[in-house]
Amino acid sequence: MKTLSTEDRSQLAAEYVLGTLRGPARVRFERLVEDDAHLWQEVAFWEHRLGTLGEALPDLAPPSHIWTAIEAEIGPATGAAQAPRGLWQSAPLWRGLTALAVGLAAVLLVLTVLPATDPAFQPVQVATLQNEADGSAWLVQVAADGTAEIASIGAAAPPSGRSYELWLLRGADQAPVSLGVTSTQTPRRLVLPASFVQGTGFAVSVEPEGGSPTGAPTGPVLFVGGLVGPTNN
Amino acid sequence: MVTDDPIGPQLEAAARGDRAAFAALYRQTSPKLFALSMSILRRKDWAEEAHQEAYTRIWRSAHRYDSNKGSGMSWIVTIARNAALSKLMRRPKDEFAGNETEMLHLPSGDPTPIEAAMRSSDARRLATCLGELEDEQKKSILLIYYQGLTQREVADHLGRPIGTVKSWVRRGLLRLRGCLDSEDA
Repeated sequence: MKTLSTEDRSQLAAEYVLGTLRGPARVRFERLVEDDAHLWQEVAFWEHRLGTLGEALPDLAPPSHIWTAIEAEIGPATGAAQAPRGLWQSAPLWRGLTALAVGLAAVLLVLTVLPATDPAFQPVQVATLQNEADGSAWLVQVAADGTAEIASIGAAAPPSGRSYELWLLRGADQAPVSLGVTSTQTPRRLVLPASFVQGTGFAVSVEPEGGSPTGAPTGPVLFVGGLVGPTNN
Repeated sequence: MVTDDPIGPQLEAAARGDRAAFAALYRQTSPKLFALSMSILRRKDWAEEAHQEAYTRIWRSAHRYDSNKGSGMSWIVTIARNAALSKLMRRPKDEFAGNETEMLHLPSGDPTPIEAAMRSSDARRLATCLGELEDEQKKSILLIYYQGLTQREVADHLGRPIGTVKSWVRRGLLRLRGCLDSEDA
């Protein structure tokens, strides 16, 4: 791949986005993109450019039952008051999480911050999401620019057919926001959503492979922790 | 980079958990995205499943949307198209979508309705550059984009050898890239 010309790389990215790159070649390309920022930019270029073709289609209204099904998955748009009150709205849970976050601050004082995979990544805050049962944890490091990195500290691989999913906790009255599936093998960089504010915490739950099907945690929440460190604002 | 993008702010609100903003985004964009799903899958039941999958993905990954990298509309179109293509690639080998009765009239090869319907400046730029391609190059690329056809299926559809179609697609994309770069400059 490294010997391919810029033109060839753009061509491969275009064929990937267009969909003519299929089968094993498509899988190989997806692996290459993961480690190749330039190739990723090419994919983004074509996704954006060809994506504008969608604007040309004549409108075709979908049947209304599809929105009902989507709403059932993500929760109704009519406000939290009508949403089913699940575990995440439970006051005792939140009191517990707050106490746990305070306790973890002490742990953080002696914690060695893992080196980030990107030398330009400069964390200003850290959170340790600890599993009380076995002491394993995830480390979330947050940089001033709103990016973060998550890495496992001894967390066991998820059970077969399951994935770990990272959540941003925003307070007792708001549902957590998914930050995507996370791997015990490799640290992952992510961009925190605009809803991220100082004082929030993180959690990792066990979900069906590929992540929660509902947009909210469905499996056991094994790791929880709050951010500690100097604020940048 | 993107100024005429009403979808971007709705995505950012959805990323903050704002379901009302997401509902508004759905009302505004679902007719386009459903048309795309139907265009690619040409079976209502499959298109409905892909459409639902697409919006669930949009909701769950809205925090990954970056307005610096492109418009919100092209971002959600990409997600919808990928959801439809995933479904298409999983279809049984013996099912050929072309036999379906629920066919649609779509901008499969004719540039005129595209140019007429395109609104954003980025979309107009793409239309201009598509207009510079040879007819076969443009037709092949649009058939693949809008209908999810393989190059083999395009070759069958146009009655030309697959090698010829592959060459049209390759040269067409190359020229498109050159034109878009010069338009950006």
